[in-house]
Amino acid sequence: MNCGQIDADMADYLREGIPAARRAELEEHAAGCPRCARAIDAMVEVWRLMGKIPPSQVRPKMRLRFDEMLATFQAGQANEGRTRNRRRWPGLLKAAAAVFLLLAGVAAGYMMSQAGGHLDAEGKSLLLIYEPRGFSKGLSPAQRAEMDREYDDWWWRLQREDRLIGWVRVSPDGGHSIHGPDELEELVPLARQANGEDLVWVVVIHTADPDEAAEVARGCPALAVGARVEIRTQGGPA
Amino acid sequence: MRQVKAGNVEELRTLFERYSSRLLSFFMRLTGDRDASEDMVQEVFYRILKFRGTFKDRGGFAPWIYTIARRVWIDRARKGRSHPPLAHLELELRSAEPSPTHHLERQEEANLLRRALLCLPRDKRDVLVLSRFEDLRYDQIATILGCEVNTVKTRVHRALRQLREAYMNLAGVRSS
Repeated sequence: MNCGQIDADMADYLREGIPAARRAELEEHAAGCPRCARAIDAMVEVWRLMGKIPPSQVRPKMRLRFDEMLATFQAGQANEGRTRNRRRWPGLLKAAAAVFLLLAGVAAGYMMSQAGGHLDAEGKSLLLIYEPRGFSKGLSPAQRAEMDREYDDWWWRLQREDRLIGWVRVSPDGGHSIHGPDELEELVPLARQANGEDLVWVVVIHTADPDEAAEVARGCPALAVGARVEIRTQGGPA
Repeated sequence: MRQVKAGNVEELRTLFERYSSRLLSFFMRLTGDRDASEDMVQEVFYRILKFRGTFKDRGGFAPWIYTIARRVWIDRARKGRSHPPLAHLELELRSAEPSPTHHLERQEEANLLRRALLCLPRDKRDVLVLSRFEDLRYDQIATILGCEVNTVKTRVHRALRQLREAYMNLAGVRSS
């Protein structure tokens, strides 16, 4: 073992996560190397001191704020649920859903032009995000994590601005995930079909205004790495 | 969390009981500011509700909640609201631990170290707090920070060295 290896092992040594044999090697090296011995002692000491920073206690007012936040959220959810149910299950729409299920297998092309029909009918836009093929594979884990964080930021901003309805994501293996109301399930065929052209996300936002949709689209983090965003408002592609 | 994700948001109370104190301590160690830390804990639970659909069981809950917590902290820092008044910090330490005589020295050390921690750049502060206090494995911390495990270990070592320097400087300033 040399001095450089001591540095590499220090984090494990401090948390006692180092194998016994390795620990013995490290201590043997330190016994014959005053510089490393001092460095280890210093690190152990500051690690120990950190343990003296006391934990903080939750004050009652924090709990009250939490209760208020949860109650507000639940009330909002109940209202949203009622609205959604009214929208989702008028008799005519139930019949349309049944027809949709029957014809789903043979109507993929039709779906491409009509996807999100009733969502759009309420003044919504779809943002179809096409990430370049192999884009994800070309990123390091750190870059991928950074991109995920940027997407999180974007979702979060859109939610705070009350613009986001939800999104559908299609993975290269054909799987998908949905974030938002159940109606977004209807967009899965659209997302799957377009996935052959590298489409990764279908994002649904609360506006039929092409300018506002374009403004939202400009915030898409993947634009910086060569992605393309197609906007479909009520009247079709913008 | 599985229940919360499935729509039983009332179960968030259980998560609050388990994690509110840990999160508060996490933010306090990062910022030294109690009011800001309490706000951030609140924000974390709000985001859990909003993003509950994105939770994946596979990685475990702790890395997920700390990823959110770290994002909350970074977002707040970006808005320039992360610098605590130092007088507030001392007040917090005094109130956290009563002062029998034999604890004075210990309090003083903790106080100085906490100040030293706040002197570190953010990327060193978070890796140290996560690795020293939050009972997370290095691979979980790597997930939270979005880097390799070895990078976490290197950062811990470097951050600790810098923390010691900052601590010694503060201790020197105090004693002179």
